Amino acid sequence: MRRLLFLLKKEFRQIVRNPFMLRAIIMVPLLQMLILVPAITFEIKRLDLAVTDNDRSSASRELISKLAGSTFFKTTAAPMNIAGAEELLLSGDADLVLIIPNDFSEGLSGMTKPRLQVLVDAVNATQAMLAWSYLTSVVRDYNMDLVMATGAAPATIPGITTSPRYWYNPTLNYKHFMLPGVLVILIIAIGLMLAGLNLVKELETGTLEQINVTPIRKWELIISKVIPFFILGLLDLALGLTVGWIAFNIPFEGSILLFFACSAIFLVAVLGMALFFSTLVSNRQQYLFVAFFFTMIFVLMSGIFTPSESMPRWAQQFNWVNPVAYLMRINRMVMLKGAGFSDIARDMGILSVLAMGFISLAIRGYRKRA
Amino acid sequence: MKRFMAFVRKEFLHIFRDVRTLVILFGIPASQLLIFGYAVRTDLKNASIAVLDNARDNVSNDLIHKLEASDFFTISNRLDSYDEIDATFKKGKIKAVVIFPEDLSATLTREGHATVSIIADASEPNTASLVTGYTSGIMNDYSATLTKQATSGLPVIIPEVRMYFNPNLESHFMFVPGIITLVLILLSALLTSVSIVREKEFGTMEVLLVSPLKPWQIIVGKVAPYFFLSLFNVIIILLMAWFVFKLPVRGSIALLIAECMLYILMGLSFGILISTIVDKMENAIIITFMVLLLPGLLLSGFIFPIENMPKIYDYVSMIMPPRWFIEIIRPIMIKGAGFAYVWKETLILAGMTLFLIVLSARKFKVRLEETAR
Amino acid sequence: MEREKVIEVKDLVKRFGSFTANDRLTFDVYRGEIFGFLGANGAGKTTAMRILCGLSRPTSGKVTVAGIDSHNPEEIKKRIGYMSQRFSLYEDLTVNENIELYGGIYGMTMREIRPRREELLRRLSFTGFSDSLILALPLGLRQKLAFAVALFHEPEIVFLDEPTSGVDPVTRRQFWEMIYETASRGITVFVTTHYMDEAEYCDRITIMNEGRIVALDTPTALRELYGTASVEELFVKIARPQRINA
Repeated sequence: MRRLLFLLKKEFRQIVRNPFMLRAIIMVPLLQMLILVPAITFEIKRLDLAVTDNDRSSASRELISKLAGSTFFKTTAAPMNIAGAEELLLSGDADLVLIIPNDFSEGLSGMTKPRLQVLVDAVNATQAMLAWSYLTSVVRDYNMDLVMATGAAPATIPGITTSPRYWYNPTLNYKHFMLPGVLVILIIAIGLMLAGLNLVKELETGTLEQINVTPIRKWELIISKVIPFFILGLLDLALGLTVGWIAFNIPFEGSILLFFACSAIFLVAVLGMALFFSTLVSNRQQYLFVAFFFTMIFVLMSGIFTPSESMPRWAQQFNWVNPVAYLMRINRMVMLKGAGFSDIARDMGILSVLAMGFISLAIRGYRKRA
Repeated sequence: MKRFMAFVRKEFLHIFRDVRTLVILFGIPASQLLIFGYAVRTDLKNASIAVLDNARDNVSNDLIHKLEASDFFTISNRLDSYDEIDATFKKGKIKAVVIFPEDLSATLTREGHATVSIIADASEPNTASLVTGYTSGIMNDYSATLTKQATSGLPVIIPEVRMYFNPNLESHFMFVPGIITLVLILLSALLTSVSIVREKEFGTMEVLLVSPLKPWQIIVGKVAPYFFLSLFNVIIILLMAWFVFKLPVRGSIALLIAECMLYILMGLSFGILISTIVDKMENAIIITFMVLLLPGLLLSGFIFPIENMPKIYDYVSMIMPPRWFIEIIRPIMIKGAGFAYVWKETLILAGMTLFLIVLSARKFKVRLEETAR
Repeated sequence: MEREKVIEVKDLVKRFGSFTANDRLTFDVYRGEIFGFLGANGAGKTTAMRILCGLSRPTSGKVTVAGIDSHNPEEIKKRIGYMSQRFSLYEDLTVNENIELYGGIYGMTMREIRPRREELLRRLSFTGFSDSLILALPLGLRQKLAFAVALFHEPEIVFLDEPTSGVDPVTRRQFWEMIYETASRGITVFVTTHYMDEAEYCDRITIMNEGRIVALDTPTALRELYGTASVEELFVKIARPQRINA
């Protein structure tokens, strides 16, 4: 036991001696919080709408002003023809182009059916679909006006409208959504990257060989490597949370204790992963790539940016063993919805099992190494 | 010259002997393509919603049917009272609740107008707005059929849409250029800096510096393999995208490759620059991650469009090469744009690259002189 | 005088698959000896030494180190010291911190460590360096310090793996004085080296070749036996470099 204390002293001394490491430990949470959280958003601002008005009648101008007046669109250029319209799409100067044919107002008096063409830049498919749906809702409004102008009573135009309400995040503030996610990335950065690199370094520089000759037990060595980064990870989490709270006024509905408890379990899982990976490689460069590879996969699949429920079956099955997916869910439920222990008990339980699983993988890997 | 070639050969051998790294290097783009192609969805599919039907009439049944039938939703709960909503949300199973008021049909017949409430779980704002957007779309469709019946003969306009560049509305079109950007940073910047710093750490760099090899030969020799490796990786990515997703390169492949080479050069010089600043491998990794990789991933427009971020990010991202690179290769790959559309961005990228080369060359020389002392 | 054996090796065999690295080694080491372990590269020295240090187990045979059987490596490790060929001290820790660490690892308390550390530093004339990072020390100083650290917990036996490689002649000389001094205190020194002149300094030496012991005696006796003027000549005569296994 005393041996462990001496080892821990050494680990902390080494960490403190490396200025880069120290700076990283403090700066990483700060930077991530302050820079990443506000940036990551799927909110769509106003789209650039270009209109070619071949009719130039009061009817067409009416339509255009309706579009310009909506909060979704920002009218920009007025291309001469289809070729001009396509140019705008190609150069990215317009997100969509509306082409009003020259028989627009004629068609409205019932002579011909005017074709209203909409060309949409669909590179970003979601944006394209939303653009189209905004446009059709404005057109629908316009249609309503037309119909009412013919004198028909509003009641003859039946319609069901929806009235949305948003719970837990009424302003649809993306930061509320992303903050828990960024906190998770924070833990992974410290736990997987820093801890693992530290471990592999001893292997690479040969100091591990010296340790092997001493009475230090394998488990003592492993614990001495894990504890400092465990503590640092939790400290960084607290730091990140504080920064997030101060900078963005993120509400914290649930129990902070529960939050930290789950994060701690997650951290153990991550450290177990780090240990396990370190048994697979022979130098830090390899470790870097192995760790990065798995981190990318686990993080992207976890539902941090997009909901994991929308993923195909195989992806959701993969997430059964993805610790990041669990913490992501738990964090959001606890922080934003105030979920209690009973709500997340199952997730927490599985996460603990995963943590133990990774640790045992790591221990097995270390035994083999010897 | 022969000495130089021998050195370059050694560097190549180093890399190819490290099978593990090599496997991962090709595994990363492959896995990313799969994930972005199939798993990560910015759209809605089979989102679980609950229904609180206080009306229980034809209209509500019709609407519930329509919701169920759509690809976007799956109705997983039928609730009986308003009080159940909070608890159900807390369990995290459903994304929204659709509430049909008691007198739905009656109000509709009498006033021609009725309102259905949607309560969305906005802890995932993106999902929440998509849910409300799509449910109102479905309601609108229903209204439209009602309207059509009521207004047949009346003039209304029906717009037609043409989706350009991506007629099937695949979400992975956006991502492949981003994946290329990411992978190239990893390969050209990270690997280079790590490999040079490693030689420094183990002292073999000094051996090289004392040899007859000139400093420029050492540097070029060190980065040459990564240049080719990166290029090779890009080609593999493009091939995979083509075979797996039928994602073509609409524009000129030669132009695409040329721009990639420029970007690779940028990454390599960045890597060299980093290696002159740090002494330990961990530090090289930390810097490259914080300065190039994470911002490149999240702030360059790869996943999250820059237009949607606060204005200041737009300005800051202007000094980030990945941002410009994505603005170059996306149009080329997906829209088929030619050089005329990207010359400005290319110039900027080239300028940045030149700056990095000059800076790193100068720093390297300074370091050299220091060690010579 | 009955000399006490601190290391007893009888018919030690170590096989890796079909390759026999140690082929029925038998030798003893006595307390307070300076025992030189020589052999060409690949002869099996390192393998044998690893077994003695408790780092690996024999395939067969009986090995007893400091009275402990090799099947109980944890106990062996407590009684021995080791100085590895590569750097054994942490470069980013100071002299003081390294000594403290190894003292603690071997079960000493801070109260025990402090006075002994001061005395050690004084003896080596290191007191000015006590707060310097190992990184800042020249190689010769590092080697001496590493040796002192290996002895800090007063083990019965200390294993030195090519301790003087890369070190200047003056430092080498000083190092061997330290070894003599250690041996005179009753600590057994088990040293491997490629420097043949150092072999002359040992009480007894053994030469390994292709997994077997081909010589075991005092340097003088061996020289007489083979009729060579120096151990070096003797070595060249009987220790053929290991052929690379096809």
